[in-house]
Amino acid sequence: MTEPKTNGHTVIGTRPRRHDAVDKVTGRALYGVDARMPNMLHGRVLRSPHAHARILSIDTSRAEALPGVRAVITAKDLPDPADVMLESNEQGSAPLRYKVLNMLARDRVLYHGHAVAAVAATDAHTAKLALDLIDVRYELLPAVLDGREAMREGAPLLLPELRTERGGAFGDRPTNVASHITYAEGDVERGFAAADLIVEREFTTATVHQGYIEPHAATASWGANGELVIECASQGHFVIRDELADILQWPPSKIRIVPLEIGGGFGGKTTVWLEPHAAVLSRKSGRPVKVTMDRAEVLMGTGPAAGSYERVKIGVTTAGRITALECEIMLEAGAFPSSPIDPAAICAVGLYDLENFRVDGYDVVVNKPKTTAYRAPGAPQSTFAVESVVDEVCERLRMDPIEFRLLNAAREGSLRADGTRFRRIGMIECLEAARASDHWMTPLVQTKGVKRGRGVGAGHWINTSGQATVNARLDADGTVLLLEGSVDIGGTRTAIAMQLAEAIGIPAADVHPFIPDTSSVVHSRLTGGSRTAFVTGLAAYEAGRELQRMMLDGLTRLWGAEARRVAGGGFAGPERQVSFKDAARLLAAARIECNAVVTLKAPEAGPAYAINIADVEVDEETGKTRVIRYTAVQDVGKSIYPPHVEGQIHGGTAQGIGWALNEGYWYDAEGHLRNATLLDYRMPTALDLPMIETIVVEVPNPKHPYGVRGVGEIPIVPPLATIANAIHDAVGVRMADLPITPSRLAASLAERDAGRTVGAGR
Amino acid sequence: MPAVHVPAELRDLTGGRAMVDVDARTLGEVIDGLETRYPGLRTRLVTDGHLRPGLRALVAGAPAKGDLRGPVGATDEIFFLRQIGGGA
Repeated sequence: MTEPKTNGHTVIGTRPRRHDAVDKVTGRALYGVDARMPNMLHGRVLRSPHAHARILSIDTSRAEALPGVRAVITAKDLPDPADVMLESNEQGSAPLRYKVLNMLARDRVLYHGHAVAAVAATDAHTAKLALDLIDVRYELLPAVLDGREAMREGAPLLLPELRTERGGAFGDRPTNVASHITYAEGDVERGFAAADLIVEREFTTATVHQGYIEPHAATASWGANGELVIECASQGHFVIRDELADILQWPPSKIRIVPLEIGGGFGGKTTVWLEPHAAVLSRKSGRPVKVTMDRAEVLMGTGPAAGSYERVKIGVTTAGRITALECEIMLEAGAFPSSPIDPAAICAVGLYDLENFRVDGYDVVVNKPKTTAYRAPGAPQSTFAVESVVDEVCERLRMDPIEFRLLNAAREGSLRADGTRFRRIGMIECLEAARASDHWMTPLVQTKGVKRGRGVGAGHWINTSGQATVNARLDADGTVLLLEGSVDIGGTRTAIAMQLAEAIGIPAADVHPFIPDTSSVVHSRLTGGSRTAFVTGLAAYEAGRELQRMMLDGLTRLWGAEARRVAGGGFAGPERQVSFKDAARLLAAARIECNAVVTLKAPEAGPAYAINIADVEVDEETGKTRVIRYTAVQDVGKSIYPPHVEGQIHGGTAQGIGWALNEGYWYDAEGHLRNATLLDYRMPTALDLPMIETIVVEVPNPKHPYGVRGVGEIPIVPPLATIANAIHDAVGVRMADLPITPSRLAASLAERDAGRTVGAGR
Repeated sequence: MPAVHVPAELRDLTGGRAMVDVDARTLGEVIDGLETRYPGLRTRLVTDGHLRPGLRALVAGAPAKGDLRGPVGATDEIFFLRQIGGGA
């Protein structure tokens, strides 16, 4: 751990007690499942037992007759998706139309776990019993679970109306390929012709889940006056409101979302899952309804990260300069279009200073749950492939992997995927910090019985911006109530409050951050894309400055002479000087209200870079890999609240290691998900991981007054290749398919020992 | 003259050219100029008089203002970018 510099700041870079700490450690904080409403019913969802089937009929009469059941809903209770007007959502129209079909299957189920019906009853047990009394007749259809198979001619089609979109034009044949994108600059053919060495490899990664500990829960009350209130945890209560408005065809002004604390999201709670069920069950029963998921439903029925295929080709000179990079990426979108294929492609070419590149990306539907965001969506998959090939290039050139990356690192002025050029970025500084780290400077020591290896990997994430709102109100006791429009993920409420505190010169403890419901604060985009500490923090900074202007104006009126700021947050006039708190008391006594509301759209986020170093040991007999030392170096722009920055790096790295070694959806031949429990879906625990050392690099973002860049997503990007590269260093095999389970690695070691080529993709 | 960066998917219409100079003072005139030289480009960029959903324009490094009426300077570079969502 390195301690960031405060650079003259009194709040930023320090470690005050986080504002939600006491409530969370004492159990007072309310999470999704804690919501209670008078006369509340309990709802459960019936899910498809098949991967692909036509729904011939649904008979709910026996369930409705069960004592205690108050409402049963099917797709007929939602507006017809063909009639849905789609205006408010940021994701475009097609994904939202499909979102309606994903909420409750209409004529076909498209994956094992697809919601078919829902029940509200006086207790959860009765609701569950009622699910068994719903008779659904299916006609089985062939399923396709692998994206590359889904792309082939003659593959089972999921959505008969789907045509491939390419640059605003649509293909003329039914397909499972929802879109084909390309990013290309320079001349890759000429670049490869100039290369002395070309390495080309194929890779795959499995479908993985975000693994948030808190299962989904939503409690809805649809009043007789038409007002719909939902209490739930999400990454964006305005997104939940707007999507509900679209799906239910109900005015957003009549929907109020109360944000509760969130037990992890990582991208998976950026959209509605069971909120529409709770709402419609409440409308139909006339009573509040709470709907919850169990763990199996979370894994089967929410939105994991896309499984993928990549082909990467890199050309280099003998001096180690990359001359061309070509990449093909296929992401499995799940049952409906819209995987993060764009960021996957962008991040594939964002690490290096490239003049010649081409990336083709394919968004493909398969009979799996509709994917959603997962921490730097798309980047871990494509970066795993690129950084594995880069490692092989280094090996074949006999070049140090950090020196090679320094030679080729993206820098200010380097081309981005979309043809624009980078502003100030920190990849070189991260590489230099990694090279100087104790981990890199300390030779790896081998030990008997296992093989040890060291790997390096880099990662890039775009970071995002968008709209944010805060409302800063001065109270009579000299504290500031800070209403934040962004829900708190990973401690953002404190990081935002600290930026306000710094701006006005008061302690962080004197700011009281609060996240009100959607009717009590102006619209903010969701907490995602590593945007919140950056853009909502920027809004808090501006609100602080506005609050100071208001206080200066008020004191000038009171004193009849011009007031000015003095050091320590206080104010002075010609004849007197007061502290911030005294100024607040004076203004309150005079009924001068100081209330600053700031809504802004940040112009541009600062892209993020990270370098990881991993030491692993491999038991060649069993194929088990153990991570024995791990260092994560990351450019954070400016570390506002160091414990949270380190926590984000720890968490993202742990998830990346799980993606590399353990995690993956496992389907049988019929398309049934067979590991929908946390016993069988293997996320790493603390016992599986070493202490993750963090090195925080601060290359300020020129678009933020304190230099903040997004922090939360980039840590998950480098670990996949870093681990695979360390395994190669240990045992000499290149693992091209994730996860690198013991059985898969043991099989590759057996092939190595038999003298066969390994690691050419699934 | 403003220079337009043509997205890779549309270069089949520009004979592979990535950068095209267009005499224009607004974003709308840029698209008119592109359409004149490369018929078919307009429908790939514009729907119902606006940039098609999911597409945004960058003019001189900043988001275009005023939709198609937004001004374009003589030395500006113009990019058409797909909107990209994030995770968490």
